[in-house]
Amino acid sequence: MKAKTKKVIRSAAKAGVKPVAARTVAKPAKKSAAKPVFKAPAPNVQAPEKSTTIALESIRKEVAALRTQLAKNMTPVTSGTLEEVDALRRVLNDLMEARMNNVIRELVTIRNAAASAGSNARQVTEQMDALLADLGAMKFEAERLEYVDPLIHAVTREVTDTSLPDGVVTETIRPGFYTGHGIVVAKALVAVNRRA
Amino acid sequence: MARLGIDYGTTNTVVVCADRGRYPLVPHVTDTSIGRVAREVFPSMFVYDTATATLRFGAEAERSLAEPGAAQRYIPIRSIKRRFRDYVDGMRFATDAIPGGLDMRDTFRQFTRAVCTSVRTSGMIGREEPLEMVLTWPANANGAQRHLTRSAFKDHGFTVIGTLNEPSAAAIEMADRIVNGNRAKARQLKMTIGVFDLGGGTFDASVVRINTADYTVLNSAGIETLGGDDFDEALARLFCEKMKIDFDSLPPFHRTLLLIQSCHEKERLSTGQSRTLTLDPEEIGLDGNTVKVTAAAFEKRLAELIEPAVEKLAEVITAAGSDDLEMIYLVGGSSRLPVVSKLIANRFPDIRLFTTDKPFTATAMGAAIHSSETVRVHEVFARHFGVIRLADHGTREVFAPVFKAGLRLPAPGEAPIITDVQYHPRHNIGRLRYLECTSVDAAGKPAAGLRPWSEILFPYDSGLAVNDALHPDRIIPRDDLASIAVETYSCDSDGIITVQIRRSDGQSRTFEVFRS
Repeated sequence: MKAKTKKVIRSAAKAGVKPVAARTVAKPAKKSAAKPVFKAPAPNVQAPEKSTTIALESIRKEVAALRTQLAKNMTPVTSGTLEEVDALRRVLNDLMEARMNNVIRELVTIRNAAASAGSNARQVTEQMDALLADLGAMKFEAERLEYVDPLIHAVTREVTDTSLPDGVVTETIRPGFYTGHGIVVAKALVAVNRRA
Repeated sequence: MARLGIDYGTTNTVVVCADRGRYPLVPHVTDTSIGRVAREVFPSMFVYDTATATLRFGAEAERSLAEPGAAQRYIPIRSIKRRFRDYVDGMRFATDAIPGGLDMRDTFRQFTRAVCTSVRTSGMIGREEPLEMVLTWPANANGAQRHLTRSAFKDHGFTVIGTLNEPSAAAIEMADRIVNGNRAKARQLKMTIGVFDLGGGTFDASVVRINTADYTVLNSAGIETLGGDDFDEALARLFCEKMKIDFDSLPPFHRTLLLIQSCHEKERLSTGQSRTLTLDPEEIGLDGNTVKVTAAAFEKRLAELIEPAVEKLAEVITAAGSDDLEMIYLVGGSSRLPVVSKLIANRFPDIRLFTTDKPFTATAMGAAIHSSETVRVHEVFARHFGVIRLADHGTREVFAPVFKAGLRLPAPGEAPIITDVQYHPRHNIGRLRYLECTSVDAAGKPAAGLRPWSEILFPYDSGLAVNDALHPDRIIPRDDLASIAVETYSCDSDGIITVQIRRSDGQSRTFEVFRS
């Protein structure tokens, strides 16, 4: 099977797919064949520094402390009126769901920046993945040869391989993330086969 | 029993559920290869499949556009909400792209069925659970539009327990937001606010007085033809200028993709992600190099489009006569554009602006709150509504108010307002020209803010049948008509005005009167 890379584009182009994730990172060079699509916006990350590891650990501890604090705060309110309990439940719900989605989005951006720095930042990437998992964000990749789904994939590269069907994923360039509630906070960036 | 607030928007449809004091968004859930994924909104766009002559909605519509050969097979159609204001029975649309076009009512019924299915499969609502809802529509929606919207949702199992004008719903949500969701505190709130509701297709402005659980609309007006769609097109045209192509001559498929991409770029500006708007022609299936439009250039164009809305808000505030306006609430997805708050802040430097990070959910959330507790909304006639009549034996025209400005609309469940007018006809055919205005001069003529409503022809001459098709050319003076005509006006809680005209022989006909 001989795969020939045709061209690189920034998004799903003719397919009409919005490259949401692509926009949040660096723009790839236009039509530069078979080159990596994303450049790292991050500076040279030589190795996972100790301070980075401590910072990530600190974030994880803060999240745990926040959860404990919220749980404690809930206790006395249960003696209040039903409306007070409902109101607090609403505020907490907003904080924990809506706000958390935004936090996760930002963390995914940082994680991707680290990932694009290459093997030097592998440990940072792994720790970020663990932190995201702690926060309920699940990583996913496209299955090879599945059809492109604009709900979860953003096309960033087109290749031509006449032995494969048109419109199937040939490679996952960067994983995507979704929350426990099914909100896709980052689509998986994929290469797609175009026969024509 | 689930209670919902639904905002059928030009760009997105938002559903919020009232759940024991919480008002969560009902997600639009779709099965994918990674499992079920959820989105906060149900897209109002859809596609027509030329191969099967069927429509696809929601996520299926978006997936269709990503299929190989989509340009040849699918015709994407952005929302039909804007076309509702011209709706008449049997109306068809998209006739330029689809032979014979699509039936408006049937298309919207299919859309509401898709929304209903989405709600049922969201996981938040039981599949057999009865659904009650409060539905919203633009403050300036006419009766046909309201009827079409309401009946389509009813047909798919929703029980419509209430309706709200969109700015009124937003006011309810704002009160809730001010008190951080404490409904007990919300019911103690007393303040007057302005609502600047700039959505995808329409603009509404209202001044609302909040007095505990009573929300009284002091004045309201809007622009039916201004919204995010216009901003998308403005940006699309700027991109076309850069690409040196004619926007109007683009094939429908490419034009729609260009508008969708322009919408996404506009949203990046709204969320502060970028100050440069870019378009790769390949994204819309065209050749060429990437083009860029600066935010400054786009905002200059936007300012021209948004200025009339800001002026309309100023008119509404002035006409409301309220000197205790505390803040202006910016709602609707398009209000997130930085230029909007900048223009309003410049125009009203002494009034605080109140914004939200999710302006597109405010209306549906207000409707959901309204569905679950006693919040009384009192809409009023913001303007004089009346008809041009002939006076002094037909020698001069006068404006005869039917419902005067400030008159309170009946609350849901209350009897409609009824008023009768009797007169001696002076012509064989009556030509009733309805209009609204903000003031009347000493001579009884509309002085400001004049806006025409529908025009009705009715035969006073018993020799003509009441259902005959009439033409103004056939009107002739008839001093010999000894009959008396009676017009009975009725206005219901939705603001729908009808008139029944009855002549001496007992023949009558009922018309709906709406803004033209």
